[in-house]
Formats: sequence, structure tokens, C-alpha cells
Amino acid sequence: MQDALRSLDGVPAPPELWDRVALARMEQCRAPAELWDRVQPAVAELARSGRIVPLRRTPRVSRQALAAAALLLAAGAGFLLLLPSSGFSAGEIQARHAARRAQFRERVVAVSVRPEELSPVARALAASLGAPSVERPL
Amino acid sequence: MSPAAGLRGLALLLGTVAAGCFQAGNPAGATAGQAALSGQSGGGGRLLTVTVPDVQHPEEFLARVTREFQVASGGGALLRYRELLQSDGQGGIRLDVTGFAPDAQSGFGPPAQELQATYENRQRYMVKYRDAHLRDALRARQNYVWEEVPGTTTVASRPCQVYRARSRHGFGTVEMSVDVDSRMLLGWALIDAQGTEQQRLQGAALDLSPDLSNVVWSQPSTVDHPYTGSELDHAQLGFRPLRADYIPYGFGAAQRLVLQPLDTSVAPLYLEVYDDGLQVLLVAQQRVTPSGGQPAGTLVFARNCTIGGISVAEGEIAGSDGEASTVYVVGSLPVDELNVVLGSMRD
Repeated sequence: MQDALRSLDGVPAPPELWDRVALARMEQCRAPAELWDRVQPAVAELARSGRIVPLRRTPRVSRQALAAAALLLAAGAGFLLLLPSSGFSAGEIQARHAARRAQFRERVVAVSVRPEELSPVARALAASLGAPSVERPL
Repeated sequence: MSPAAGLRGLALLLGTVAAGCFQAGNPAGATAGQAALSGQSGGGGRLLTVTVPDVQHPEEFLARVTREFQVASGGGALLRYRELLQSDGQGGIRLDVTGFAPDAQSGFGPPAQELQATYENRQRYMVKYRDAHLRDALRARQNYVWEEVPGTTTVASRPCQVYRARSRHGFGTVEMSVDVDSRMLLGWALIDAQGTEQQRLQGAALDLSPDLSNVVWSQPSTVDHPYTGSELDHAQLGFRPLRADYIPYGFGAAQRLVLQPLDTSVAPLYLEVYDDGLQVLLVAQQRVTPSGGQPAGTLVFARNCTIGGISVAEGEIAGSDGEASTVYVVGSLPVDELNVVLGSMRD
């Protein structure tokens, strides 16, 4: 141990070292008699209120991990808050969409025609999307 | 529970919440997990579920691309066009048709003058709207399940990855062949909801160092500007455009334009362009004379036609001023979907 201590020559001591040494050098002394009188009512109240769950030793968690966990929690809460809440289930939305679609479709009386029976503008728009144009009439 | 386990649990919870955010536009409730991180890999040609790939489009490059465009005709035949696309990568493009074949068996012959004139007038629209584009990555992820075919295929002598994007809403599949190195889209195919291929464009040769000094770049065939809803726009159009109350699932508005053809005898056109990330839907309106049609929200007599995977629904609808406009709904969706859009037009 002496060799180990000597190998630390030049290394600055941590600030809390003196506090630890001072504490270790303090002699054991008896608590004053009235201390239990002061503490006993609080302990009795705790005992009446329910089980006292013993505290486990909490694992050591780095500040970075805690910050990351807090950030993830905040992001998750933000996601949930920002999600649109329509109040409708997916099935209800689908049913409403289908009904709306049917309503609009009912307004249309459709007739199939040959390409050359379409208007020139319709044929030009279709040709812009790749429909055959001139070699075989649109 | 250890802190590390707790953090993993939180990450899983947040991932589930995030996946739920991407259910928009899918009435069946399919999750975005289908188009999220790479999942099962497999041997024997099993498709890999992937996220939206990085895609660059040919007109973004200094390039000369020879390619073949095929489209299903109404008679069941396959029309084939040989094309030459030249671009300077700075907005200058030129698309020429250099050959035509009336079916899959015939060889290419010289294109007729009318066909060449068609390309001359429409080349900019064909490159912009006909050719497949990754138009909106977020909508493309929301509306399609993306899969990658394992391995590579050769297009225009370049190794390419092949991706298949299947619409979650029954609007078909778009296949893309992407050059491994440059990420250029060298080929694509449009497959309808029944699984029938309607259009295919395949690169044949690629030159990334072309001499474009003699190229006459395409010029617009219309003068267009964004529609602002101003009285000036309405005066130019001659009417106040109707609005569609129904747009197919997944489609969002990309552009609203006022188009004035260079031939001033042709009435101006109001054009709305929608896309679902890949496919395009055009809703156009034009004042017609003599006027006719029923008031908006009542009855529409529509003319329907589908050819080459492109559907058209057009009909006359009267506005609040009693005058009629012809409404054109055009896209690669089933024609009945276009009829619903037509029926939803209102003043």
C-alpha cells in the first residue's frame, strides 16, 4: 500500500479527501436521549400508514443516459400530443369516405367512347401522360 | 430493469408511435412498417422491403439517352417509340422520336411527320408528366409499399437496381430501374391494378459526355403562370374555376396553373396537377361555347376512355354564372375514380 501511495506522488488529491478523513477520525458518541422522543412519533405514523417499502440501492445512471431518457420521454409525449385526434376509428373514416365517394359517383352518368370521340384537349392531356396519339389515333 | 433496457423500451415505443403517424391516406390501416427499414432478406429472388430509394432523373444530368417507349394500345397491340432525350442538366431538354413500330414484332421505321410534330409540341409535358418521377418522397412512402428486386439488371449497359412501388390504394405499381452509380432513372414501367403492364420506358444507350452544341432546346408550347385566384386570372380564363371536393386517396396538389396556348384561338386552360408521390392526376377546366351542362353538384354526363393505362373522364358542368366549363380529369387511375372526381366538382 505504501508503494501504491508513493506512486501517486504529484497527483493532486480530490477535494473531498479531507472531509472523508475528518469524518473517519470522528469518535463515536452516543445520541442524546431526547432524540428518540423526537423521532418516535414520526416512525409510529409511518408504521400505521402501510407497508414501508424498503428502498433499494438505485443503480448508478450516468447523466447522459438520464438526459437521453428525458428527451425520449418528451419527444414521445410530443408525438402523442401532436397526433391528430379525429375522434373516429379507422373503420369509421373508411365508411365515411366510401359514402362520400358513392355520393359523388351517383352524380355522374358515364358513357364509354372511342379515343377519337374525346375532345382535342382531353386527347392532348392524355398524350402528355403517355397515351398513344397519332400513329394509332388517340 | 436496467437503464439500457429502459431506453430500448422507450425507443421501441416511440418507433411504434412514429409508424402510426404515417398511416395517413390508407383506409385499410396498413402500417408504414411495410415501407420502412429493410426487413426480411431472402434467397431465391424474394423481394426486399425497402424505404424510398434515392432517384435522380435523366433531365437533371448532362446526358444523351436513347430509349424505347412502349405503350399498350386499345387493340391489344404494343406501340413502340424510339426516343432520344438530350439534356444539359440545367433545364434545357429536347425529346425527339426517332423511330416507330406498330407492334412488338415489327422493326422500327421512320416516324411520320405528324408524330414528330406531336413530340415537338408535347416534349416538355411528356418528360415532366409522362416519364416516371419520384415527385414527393414523403407521399411516395405513405402511398406505396417499396420493394427491391435482389441483384441488379442491365439497362443501357449500366447495372441497375430494380424497385417496385405498389400502391396501397389499388392504383397499380410503378417499377423503376436505377443506375447503381449515378442513381439515374434509366427505366420504368407502369402496371395497372390488374397487373397488366401499360407503359414501359427502357434506356438503350447512355452518353454522359455528349456534344450538345447543335441541339435546339425545347420551347414551351403554352405560356403558363401559377394560378393565384386573382380577378386577373379569372379574367384571362373567362371563368372562375370549379373546385373538386374529392381527390383520390394519397394525392396532393402539386401545381395550379393558367395555361394560354400560343395559338390564341384556343381558349385558356386552368390546370391542377396532383400527385401521390409517383403518379400524376390532371384536372383541367376550360370555358366552352356554346354553353351547356348541368349545374355543379347535380348531374354530369361524362365521356370515359382508357388507353395505354391513361384514363379520361370529361364532361360539361355549369358554374354559378350559368356558363359551362368542360372539366377534364386525366390520369393513370381507374376511370371510375376519375368519375368520382368529376362528380365532386362544385362552384
